[in-house]
Amino acid sequence: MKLTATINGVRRTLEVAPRALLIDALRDAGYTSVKRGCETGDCGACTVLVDGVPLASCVVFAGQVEGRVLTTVEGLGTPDRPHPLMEAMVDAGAVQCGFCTPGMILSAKALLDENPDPTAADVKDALDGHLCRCTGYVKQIEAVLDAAARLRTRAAAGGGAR
Amino acid sequence: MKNLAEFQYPESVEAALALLAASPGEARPLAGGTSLVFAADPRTRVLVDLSRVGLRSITLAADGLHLGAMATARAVGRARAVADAGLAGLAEAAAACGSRLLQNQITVGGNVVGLYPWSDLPPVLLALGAVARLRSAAGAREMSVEDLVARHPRRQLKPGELMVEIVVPPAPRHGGSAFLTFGRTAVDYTLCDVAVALELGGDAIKAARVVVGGLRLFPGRLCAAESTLVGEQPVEAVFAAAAAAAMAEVQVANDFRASREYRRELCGVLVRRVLQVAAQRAAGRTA
Ligand SMILES: Cc1cc2nc3c(=O)[nH]c(=O)nc-3n(C[C@H](O)[C@H](O)[C@H](O)COP(=O)(O)OP(=O)(O)OC[C@H]3O[C@@H](n4cnc5c(N)ncnc54)[C@H](O)[C@@H]3O)c2cc1C
Ligand code: FES
Ligand code: FES
Repeated sequence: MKLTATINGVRRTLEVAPRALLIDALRDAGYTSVKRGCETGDCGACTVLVDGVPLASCVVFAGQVEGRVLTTVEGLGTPDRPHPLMEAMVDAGAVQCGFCTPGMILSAKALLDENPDPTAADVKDALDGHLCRCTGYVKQIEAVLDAAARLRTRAAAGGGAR
Repeated sequence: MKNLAEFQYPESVEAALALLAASPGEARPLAGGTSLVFAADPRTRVLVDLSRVGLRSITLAADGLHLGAMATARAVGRARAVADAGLAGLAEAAAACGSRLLQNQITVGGNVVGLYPWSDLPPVLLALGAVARLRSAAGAREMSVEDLVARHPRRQLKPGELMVEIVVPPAPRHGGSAFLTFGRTAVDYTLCDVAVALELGGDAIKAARVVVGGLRLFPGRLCAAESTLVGEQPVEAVFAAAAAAAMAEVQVANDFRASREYRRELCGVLVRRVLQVAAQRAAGRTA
């Protein structure tokens, strides 16, 4: 069946099997930042934003995002032009194997879009459901708080916040 | 879902009901999808996606709190109307439905109709005396959550019937509710959960509902524990007596995670703790 959605600002039509999961539809279409960690909804590695809301794409049918606006990490920044969340994750040493990172960045993005000045407790809450086997659960929180500060500085300086 | 062939995207409840009626046995409602993605269901050919039919609102009215079937657990946990209604136990249960991430997707309708032993909303809705509103192409009816979960809710719904909302009656003026769940880790399945709704009158407990979940297929009231409470003062010794009654009456299924004895003991501990919290809340509303 045909599935049409806006992915990272581009309107795309994908051919998917009716019972396809969103994670597979996206990975097969080249969005490989969407990681397959558990495939049971437990780890958060497959998180994508659907109309701005973080969802675990391994427990979503591809058919559920018909007509929706999707964001993966590919849509946030590139190695040349990283998003402040990406920079802050690297600077904080929050990335080792990096498998959990794209999902965490997207949940953090949804948080910062709603609340540009979160507390550490807000960040912990927003990252609930994201498992990391490598670094533990401290540096990501520092990174998100740092990214929030960078984004606020940038907004105050009149730069376009992404 | 090996025979799944299409998705339908109705834009109203009426259109969804018509689609369900048009393919009896072959069309199934789709809410968050968090359990349907795992369903081994060769009969379903059409998934009727409810994401465009509305049913998302959470509002406080004179007859109680209305939870739309498509309201997410996240929305219930954060809703101003839930706090204003004095239903702290409901907010606690919503915040316990899997991870925050999954709460963006899990819906009230999916959590109740697709009941599992670990489902966190049904026990608290039962304790609060909530009623489910059901609709089909043939008409509308109501069923208490207590009746709905006496068997599996999916088997209580008629073919083509949708749950459209849950109505939680207004909390009594001197009422308080609370919910507690316990698992081995923050992400593991629950070993036991307990929901309580209390009403105080004067110095004594006027009404009590104590519901246990997670121990068997369906949640259920602990009637011996409830009668230990009614007419007594909300004090520690009474809560301990209720916990003892709960442990004596509760039926515990086998589970490889923990022994029956352990889960029975756990149930007693949770009953005592949850009563303390609910009583404090009820007293707070008195003040
Ligand atoms: C890893 C993981 C952990 C979880 N942990 C918990 C937990 O700790 N506590 C908890 O409470 N839940 C938990 N859940 C969620 C729970 O297991 C179910 O997946 C969830 O409640 C289903 O809700 P849904 O909206 O996704 O429903 P769906 O999967 O879309 O549907 C579930 C069932 O309900 C039917 N249905 C849905 N809406 C309606 C309606 N309005 N009328 C009639 N029928 C309807 C569907 O046809 C289907 O049979 C967890 C899920 C996952 C994946
Ligand atoms: S791969 Fe989806 S939550 Fe783990
Ligand atoms: S960095 Fe390896 S899982 Fe988090």
